[in-house]
Amino acid sequence: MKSGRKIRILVDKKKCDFCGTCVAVCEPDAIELDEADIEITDRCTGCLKCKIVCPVGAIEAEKIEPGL
Amino acid sequence: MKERYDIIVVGAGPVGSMAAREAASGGASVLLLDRKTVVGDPIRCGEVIGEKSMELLVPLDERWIVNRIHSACLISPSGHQVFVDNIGAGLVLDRMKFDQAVAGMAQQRGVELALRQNVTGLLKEDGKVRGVEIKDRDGRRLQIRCNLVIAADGVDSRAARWAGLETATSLEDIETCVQYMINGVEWDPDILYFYMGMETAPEGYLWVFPRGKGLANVGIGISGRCAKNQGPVKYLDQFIQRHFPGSTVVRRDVGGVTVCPSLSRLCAHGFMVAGDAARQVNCMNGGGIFFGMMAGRLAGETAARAVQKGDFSESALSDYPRRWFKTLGSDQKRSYRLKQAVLAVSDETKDKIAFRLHNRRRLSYFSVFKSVFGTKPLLLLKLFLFFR
Repeated sequence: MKSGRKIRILVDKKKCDFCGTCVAVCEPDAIELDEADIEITDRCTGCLKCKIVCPVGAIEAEKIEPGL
Repeated sequence: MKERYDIIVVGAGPVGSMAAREAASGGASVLLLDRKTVVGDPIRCGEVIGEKSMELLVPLDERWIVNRIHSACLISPSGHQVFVDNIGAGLVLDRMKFDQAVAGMAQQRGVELALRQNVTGLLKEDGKVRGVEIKDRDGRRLQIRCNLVIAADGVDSRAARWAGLETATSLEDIETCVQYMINGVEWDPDILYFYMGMETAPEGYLWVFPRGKGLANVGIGISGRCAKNQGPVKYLDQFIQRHFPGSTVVRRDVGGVTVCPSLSRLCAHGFMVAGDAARQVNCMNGGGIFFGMMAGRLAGETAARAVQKGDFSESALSDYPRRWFKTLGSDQKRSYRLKQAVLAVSDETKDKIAFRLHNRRRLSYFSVFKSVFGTKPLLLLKLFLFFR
């Protein structure tokens, strides 16, 4: 993600169905998906659209403390 | 798999399989890739399509037809039922069997199908698409070259972005959806039920699609915008607790469905996109099979001709978008405008109209929507053109 990022996206891979609805709304193209795996890459800008749109609520976001 | 093909199709759903089948018809070498282990599994679809629409795509086969429907019921926010029975027959499908059948049709034409292959990038030279990068299930990375890539890689498509075509979909242009197949349903199995309302299914609808033998697909789509407040699962669970309290869930399907106009650019040099990846979905009902497979056929036909001519430039491929936008593309655009217009009708107004119509018989979808847009001539015209 861009330096100075404030948000880390966490995907609960047990809840995730790998449907890709998050990918469809991800503007920076930061989500890599396979049949049974998902990864949020450095391109994430923390817009949280993925969390909003996930049909099963598998995505959470946490604030990143500066300096970590 | 070989090192090189004339055409690589990404995505072995029905759209990719249709495109591959047509693309191979002139003898071109075609590789059809999917990251799935099993074609058509899991399904992410309501599994309903009009019989007439399906007949335009492939010959009907009872092996993937689960049920036939002859009526629909639209339920307004406060519960008024409007029966629509002047409609053509509808088919409830077994999407897994259907997807496998269409992939089989492609294979019969000589298409090579390779599963568990995840396309992770496009090979490009001077901005021209020349092949794909793959990571297979064992983690092996390989490159396969081709003259033309057809991307039918679904709602979560990235290939079009890599080719420089697509921008992401906004929250109000996508429905976030959950569906359960449940048993213990004693409702009339000859009717498709559509529930509307901000409390039931905000900016979308909830469906009950009977499969016969007490089974039904019960699902919901709500807009990404409304999902900020509450996700689709809670709405669906509430509905099922109320209407099917004794039922059991035998399958759960989740996914996203776009409800926006198709991409305005469908080609680049050595590249075409079709299906959900191109946002070729009916914005009124979320149906993607018909528009997608028709586009897949057009793309495949154009691809076969490109191979014969040895020309894969964007202008050589432009037959495909030209034919799409002239016919189905304009229907699809119209479905978007109608969807937007229906969204603007308040729950209160929907209730008033439903109340007026609820004892009428022999209604068609057209006459129902005519009631909705009664005082808006421009929308009436669009409606007429959409249903003609």
